[in-house]
Amino acid sequence: MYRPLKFHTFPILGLFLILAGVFPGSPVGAADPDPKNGAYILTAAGCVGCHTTKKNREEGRLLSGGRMLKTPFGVFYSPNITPDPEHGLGKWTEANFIEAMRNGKNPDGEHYLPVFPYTSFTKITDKDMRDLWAHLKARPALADANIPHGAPLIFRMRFTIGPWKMINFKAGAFEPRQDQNAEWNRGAYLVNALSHCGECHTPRNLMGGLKSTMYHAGAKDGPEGEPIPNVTMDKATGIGEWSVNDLDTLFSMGMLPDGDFVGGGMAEVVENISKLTADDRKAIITYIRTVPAINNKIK
Amino acid sequence: MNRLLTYMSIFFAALILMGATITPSHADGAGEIKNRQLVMKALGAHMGAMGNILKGQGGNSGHLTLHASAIANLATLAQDAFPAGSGPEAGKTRALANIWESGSGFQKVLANFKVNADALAKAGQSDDKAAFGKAMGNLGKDSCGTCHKDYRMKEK
Ligand code: HEC
Ligand code: HEC
Ligand code: HEC
Repeated sequence: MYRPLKFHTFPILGLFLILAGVFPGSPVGAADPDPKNGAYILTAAGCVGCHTTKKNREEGRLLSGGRMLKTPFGVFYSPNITPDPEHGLGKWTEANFIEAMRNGKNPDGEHYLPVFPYTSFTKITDKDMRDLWAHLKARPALADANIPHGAPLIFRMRFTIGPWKMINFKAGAFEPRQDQNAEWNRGAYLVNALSHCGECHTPRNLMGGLKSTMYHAGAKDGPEGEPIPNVTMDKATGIGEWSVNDLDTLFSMGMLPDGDFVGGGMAEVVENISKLTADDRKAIITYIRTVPAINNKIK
Repeated sequence: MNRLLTYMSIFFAALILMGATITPSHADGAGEIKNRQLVMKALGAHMGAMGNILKGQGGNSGHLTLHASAIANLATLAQDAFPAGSGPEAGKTRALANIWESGSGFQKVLANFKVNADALAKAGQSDDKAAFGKAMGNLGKDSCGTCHKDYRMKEK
């Protein structure tokens, strides 16, 4: 009878495997994926919001795609990412999934369009990607057919994305900064890899790439044409006057300091990050309060 | 001169009162938009004031109960703040047209708003701080946030 190797019976092999697991990308010996952490990552990253229509969401049919995403480059529809073999990811391997998230390429080697924010997800660690895949694989398969994108042809041509990526995309997992503490690094990871705050709060150049020199400084016309506030610590035009509690109230229930409630894309972000642990929300706050102030008036 | 002023004020006061009783049936959409926006502003002010108290930034925590019951009253007023004809066709408003489309789910969100606001007012009657915070979070997310996400126009 086949018995899986156990670390305690083979201490030396065990040690080797643990060491091997330290190197990102190594398929050898990495610990079993944890689908529960995968579900948490799914929430933090807002996958359900983009990959579910409003109607399906109300019926609890999640991740079967078809959600219309309006962008300055035209209208796109998210695909079905449930394990359905015909319409979803049923035939995918873990490697296919990691390739999509890390490098923005489909199993045929074609480029994904950057409406799928793999520009941020590339920073997700290998462990979290594997956990996320384990979770996705275990979800119910839903047989909803994908809807073709409605954007003008030029913005749908996958080969044009190759050169775009050379300028606007850098593949690779998040590397913690040694000169910062664990809380700051956790916050940086949540903000930049998972919750992709910058995909909205950082303005884009004419090619649709993020202007890194204007990190989190806001945009007059966001993903759906709405103004996106400056969330750097600038006192006059950003959130420099906000207290830690003001930020926590926004992130845990959606309320702004004046009592109004955010709508649109930010309301979805709140739905997600309000479900994270209080420590993770605190880490997000710690990190965004260290982002350099940029004076950029939006309204 | 003084007497003339008195007569005139009585005359105008009467006119206004008459107007007030007549208004509902003759109300124009723009006036209804204004009413809705004022009710919403008041909701924002009470929620904001409670937030300020809970963050320890000012105000008196003994007043949370009063704010909560004010919100419950405002939620009753809000039930009548979306009459037909007060949508984007009637003037400057961020209310989306889908509010008045059947099947958009709006009536359910509006009715649920009253339920959540009453739950907050009820939590305000007890000394249970955690229950109060929970009721406020629920009202904020499930009502204010959800309705603004699905039925309020994004800022232009
Ligand atoms: C901002 C909206 C958005 C978010 C958030 C988002 N996606 Fe997507 N995703 C898309 C779009 C749009 C596409 C299609 C891209 C294309 O056609 O090139 C896509 C494509 C994909 C694909 C490729 C599917 C296929 O059939 O080839 C996978 C896998 C995927 N997303 C997984 C995820 C996961 C996992 C998350 C959360 C970590 C996520 N997405 C979050 C919009 C989004
Ligand atoms: C889908 C786009 C989108 C994403 C992603 C996003 N935001 Fe926002 N954010 C917005 C919009 C739009 C507003 C304005 C909402 C309103 O006022 O109704 C906003 C408002 C805010 C505000 C309030 C600023 C102010 O001056 O009112 C803060 C703070 C903020 N976002 C931080 C974040 C953080 C942190 C993240 C990541 C965890 C994030 N946002 C992700 C779109 C987004
Ligand atoms: C049933 C839907 C709904 C609910 C519930 C709701 N709102 Fe609103 N709110 C709206 C709409 C629609 C507008 C835009 C009104 C307009 O422009 O005509 C709005 C506008 C506002 C405004 C801006 C008012 C202005 O014109 O300056 C504030 C502040 C506000 N809401 C606060 C709140 C708060 C706080 C809550 C919860 C206690 C809440 N709202 C619950 C639908 C709702």
